[in-house]
Amino acid sequence: MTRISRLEKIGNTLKQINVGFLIQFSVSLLVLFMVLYPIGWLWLGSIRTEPFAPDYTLSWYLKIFSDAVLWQRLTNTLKITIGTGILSLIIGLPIAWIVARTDTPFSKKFELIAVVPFMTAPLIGALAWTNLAAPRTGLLNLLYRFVFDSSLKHGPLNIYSMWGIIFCLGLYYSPYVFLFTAGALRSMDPALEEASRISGCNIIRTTFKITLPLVYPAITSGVLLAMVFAAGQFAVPALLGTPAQFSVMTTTIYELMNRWPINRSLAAAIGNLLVLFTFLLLYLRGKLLSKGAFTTVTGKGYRPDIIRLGKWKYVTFSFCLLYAIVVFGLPMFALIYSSLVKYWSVKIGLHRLGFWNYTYLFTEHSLTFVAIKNSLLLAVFGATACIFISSIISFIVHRGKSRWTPLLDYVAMMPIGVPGVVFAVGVLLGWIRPPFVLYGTLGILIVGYISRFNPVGIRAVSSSLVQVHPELEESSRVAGSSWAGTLLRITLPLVKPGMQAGWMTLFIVFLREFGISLFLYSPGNEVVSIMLYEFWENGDMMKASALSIVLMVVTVISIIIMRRLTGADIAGMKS
Amino acid sequence: MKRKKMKVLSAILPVLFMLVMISSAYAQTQFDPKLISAAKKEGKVTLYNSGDREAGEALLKAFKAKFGISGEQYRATSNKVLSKVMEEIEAKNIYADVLCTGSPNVLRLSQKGYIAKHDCQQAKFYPASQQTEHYVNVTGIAMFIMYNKDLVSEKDAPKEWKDLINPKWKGQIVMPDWSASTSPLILFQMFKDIYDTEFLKKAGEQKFIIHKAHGAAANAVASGENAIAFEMLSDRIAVEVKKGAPVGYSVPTPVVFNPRQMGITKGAPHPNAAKLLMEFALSKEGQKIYNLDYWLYSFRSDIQYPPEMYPLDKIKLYDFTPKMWLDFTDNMPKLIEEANQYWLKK
Repeated sequence: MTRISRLEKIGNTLKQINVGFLIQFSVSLLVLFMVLYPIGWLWLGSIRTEPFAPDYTLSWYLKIFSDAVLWQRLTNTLKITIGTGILSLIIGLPIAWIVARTDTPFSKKFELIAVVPFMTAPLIGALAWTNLAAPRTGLLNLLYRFVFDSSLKHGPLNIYSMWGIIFCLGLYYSPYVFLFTAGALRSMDPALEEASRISGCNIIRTTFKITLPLVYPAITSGVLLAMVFAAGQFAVPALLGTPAQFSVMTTTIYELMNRWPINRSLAAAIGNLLVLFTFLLLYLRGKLLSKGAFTTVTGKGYRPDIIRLGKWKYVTFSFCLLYAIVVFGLPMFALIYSSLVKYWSVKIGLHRLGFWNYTYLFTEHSLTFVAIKNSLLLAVFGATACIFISSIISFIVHRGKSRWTPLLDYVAMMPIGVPGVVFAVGVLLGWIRPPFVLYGTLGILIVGYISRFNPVGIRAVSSSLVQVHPELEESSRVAGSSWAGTLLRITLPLVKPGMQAGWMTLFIVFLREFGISLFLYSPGNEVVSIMLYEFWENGDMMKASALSIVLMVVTVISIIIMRRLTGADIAGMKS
Repeated sequence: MKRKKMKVLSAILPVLFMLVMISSAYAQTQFDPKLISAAKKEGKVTLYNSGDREAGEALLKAFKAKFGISGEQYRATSNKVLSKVMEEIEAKNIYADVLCTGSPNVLRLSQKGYIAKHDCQQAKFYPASQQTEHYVNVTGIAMFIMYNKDLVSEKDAPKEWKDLINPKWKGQIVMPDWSASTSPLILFQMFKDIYDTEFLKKAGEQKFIIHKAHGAAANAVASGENAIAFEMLSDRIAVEVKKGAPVGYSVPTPVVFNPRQMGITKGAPHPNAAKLLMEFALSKEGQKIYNLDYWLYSFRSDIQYPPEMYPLDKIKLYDFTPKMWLDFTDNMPKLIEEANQYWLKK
């Protein structure tokens, strides 16, 4: 090739480069960097004697399998992951069936309550359940002993145990099973069910022999997702497991990063094992979803029959009511009561109620307003920046023709399988030293939040984008509009609902974010969840309850304002 | 008669005025005016504190009222404070101005060269044994046994350390996490020194209920969830007593007395405000706010303890020599492993 023809080629390439390409290219690079850089540091840190030392070793991985304490914590993680999967199935599946396929009264209301756990952080849920089921002073235990057996000194419930952790996680992750299953139940082809009933099978037999096997992939998908989140949970095992000396991998990572001497390499090695485990679960889920088992759930707009339960509808109603009480009523009552007493005691009475904790929060504690301001700032700006990035990535993934597109999709979605505390270790290692020092600024929190939760935004925007046929955009381009013009005039208005829903979901996720914040915050950058954790660590459970109520009020007010302004819904509720 | 009164008044008033002026001048001279002016220019100070948050807030509030300099606080367990400071040093992005944490963390940092030397003016009121050129022991925290009075009568309450290994308390004793907080580990070291391994084993058989920090452990006892705290810091007991919680405490023999060390981070972003805060915390005024309200013992000789505080001279203290502190510092990771072996549930 002559020098002139080479120059011509470069000239032609430069002509082809336009604003659209530049934006897509730079956002793609940014996302690849934001995800791969911390994950790369996690792997590098785990195979070095110290993350920033030049000596390489595999001893940290060997230690995990040879150290009896660490091995036990690994098995504990497996136990709560499996337990959560089973419990989320036991709770989520019947609720989904009742809400989607039966004439149970108030089923629409129960549907709303079923997604309440999305709105409240697991940390708050665990806090509420310590007030309800602490062995000696939990409100439910006090009630049981008062009514049934005053000779008992504690129990019968004990939230500070492995079972307590599984209960809390199962309760708070059951909406994943519920949402996936309810969606599949609503869109399935009713022909097979009808055939079963015509053949003489009753409702129960038809449900177990026909309906459930048909939606099996959706159920399993929800269960596996609940298990992924359970394996990476930190707050619930920390709150409920510590008193029982029950540690898991996430709490061990926290311990290693906050003790003397700090052992970041071992923390990174444990984190990587956890990532491998969650990726295995996600791989299984992907395999299931890619199988043809969904062929009877085609999304063709079937309207399966609503099953008339007769007098049995009172049984299903009672089940839903019990769920509503357990997931919403009892925790809310416990939090409100706890927020109104000066100190927790077995002596219960109206005379003990007052607003001390709220007064303390708003008049004495120097961090309250700082933390609320920081949380709102991160939620608003973080969600806005994240949805911008997610939209571009989503656009590239669904409209791009490059052979690198699947890789970008895979990398951008990768953090969904990386637990928050593990990802935070990677972000800390990556952004603490030159050349990229963001440690100690709000910037590191924004970077951490966006990199980790970008998949949430991508999923929300993608769900809208796949419904927009590319022909519309192509027509615009043919008519002479630029990439940016097409994006602004055609694509964006059509995917706006998805973007709004994604923004709203990200806003809520960022407002209550805990795992990443715990590792990356600095004085002045505290967020509400950090204050909550500090209250718990300091034994100020009543103040923690008051702050939880404040956080929930702020969340609900924000949602109402956003819905009024945009009419947007929460993406997680639908996708 | 009236004229006589007026004469007396006119004689007294100038004297009173002079007295007020002198006392005000005395108050000002406690702190170097140049330091005050330099600190005011910096306008801000950040305290890293492993003690009670409310105590830290009270100190910073009084500091702001006196000098008009606002303060921020980072509160965490002692080991977390230490790891946070190390992270900041590594990132060359230091936020910590003043460190206030239980022994031997500031000592440890000073050995690594991370604590600035400070010629503290208030140090002259403190015994030489309680200070180095890097830090001063701002308070001393006594470790007592705490119990819930509704669950354990004063008569039955464990009085000595050995009473705690009585099987009747099995499953009822809380213990702060020894991998997060240094105090329980210091206690473990003392038990190793004064008792045999049988004591450590029997203590482990009590199946401790672990809490991440002293505050959470104190709350568990105060609420009646658990009966006894194996060791509880005097400031935490004070917080629960002030709330009106039904807690009592015993003073065993010997008592571990953990000095809370205060020092200034090398490279602190507000070095003058840091020095002034340290001077203030060590002054009589600071000690009254910070220490006595929270049952923290003062090393100053001119401090009068409130009556509800257990008199220091009646406590038999375990003599942790400077050499022992240094050994303890070096052996901490090993000690954590050892405590795990004895005290973690099998």
